[in-house]
Amino acid sequence: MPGLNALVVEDSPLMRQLIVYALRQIKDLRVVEADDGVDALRKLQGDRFDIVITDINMPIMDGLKLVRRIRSDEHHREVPIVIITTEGAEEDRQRALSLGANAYIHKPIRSHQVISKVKELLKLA
Amino acid sequence: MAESESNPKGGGGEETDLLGRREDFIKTFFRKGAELTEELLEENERLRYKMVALEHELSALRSSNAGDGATAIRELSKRIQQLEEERSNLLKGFSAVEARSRDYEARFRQIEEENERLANLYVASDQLHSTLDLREVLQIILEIVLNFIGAKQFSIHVLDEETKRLFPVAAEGMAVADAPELPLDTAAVAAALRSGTPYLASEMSPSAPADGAPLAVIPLHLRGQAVGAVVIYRYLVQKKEISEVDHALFRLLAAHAATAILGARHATGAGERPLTRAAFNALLG
Repeated sequence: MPGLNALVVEDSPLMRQLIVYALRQIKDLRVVEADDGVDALRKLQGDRFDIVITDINMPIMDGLKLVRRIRSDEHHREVPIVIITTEGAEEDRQRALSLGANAYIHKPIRSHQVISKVKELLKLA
Repeated sequence: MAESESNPKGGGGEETDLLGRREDFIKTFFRKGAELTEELLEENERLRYKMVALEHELSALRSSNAGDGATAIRELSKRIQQLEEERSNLLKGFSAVEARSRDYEARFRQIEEENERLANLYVASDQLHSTLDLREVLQIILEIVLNFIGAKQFSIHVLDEETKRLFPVAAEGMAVADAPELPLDTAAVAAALRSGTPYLASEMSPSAPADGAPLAVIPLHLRGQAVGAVVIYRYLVQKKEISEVDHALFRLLAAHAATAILGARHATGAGERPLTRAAFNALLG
């Protein structure tokens, strides 16, 4: 399984570190970090990614806009997207799914949930 | 015979010839009859012998078959018994494998839980000590409680060394101004600060108690001295229990959050002055 890349988009360093820590347990998965949607788009332009994990609430460009931009980009429209949501954000979650996100994870997140969801979408399970 | 005797002379040659032929015929008839009878008797005898022989053969065959059947039944019974034993052994083996599988599964869950705990502790600890900026430290504590523990409404309090009350310095799910100042004799707070271990309400509910009592109080202390507390009023709806990971995070916060807060305060040069609400708020700007 050479060359699988994941992009983690999260403004909270704490959450980002936890997600990255979890993803690094998946063999041969390279993890790239982005602080927000704009940073994510910049990194998407310069690389090929097999999965994107993004928070919804972020400054500058939030997760919903990012999902829409990814789905309208011919190079990345097929990439699986996992969104991270909080309680009470049902509307955001539904919107993200309708925009093309493939799955979601609730906070508080657990690393095994992240691993299993990513493996499932990358068909590594 | 009577006719030949009545015409011994006067019948002439024809009659004699006829009688002779008749006699020959009768003789032949009787001879052939005798021969046939003889043959029939012989055949009868032969068949009788044959029948006796067949009866013997049949009898022998019957007894032979009877013997083979019993042997076959014995063999089959033995085989059935062997198969039953094999089945029993297989079932025992299957049960053992199943039990081992359950053990592995339980062990896997334990390892997963342990890994989860270590990941959360490592990241939380790493982040707590990654800055000496007081605002950042408070933000990191908020994020740990919100994102790792899964609290929805809570506040961080620091102990005013002069008034001996816990004043709020940061909050989530409520405005800091709305978070109450807590006297040290508040039941839950007193219990947590006195014991140095978190106070946890007996009921795990996502809704805040009607009386405003906290669901959890995590004491923040340094070298046995109370520095503050994290007070949780509500959990996220999806949080169903306080797990081992949560307990480990409570312990980590109890020991490290106070160090991080006081370290950041010292870094501003305010460490020598008494820690009061006014002084602390001044540091936050």
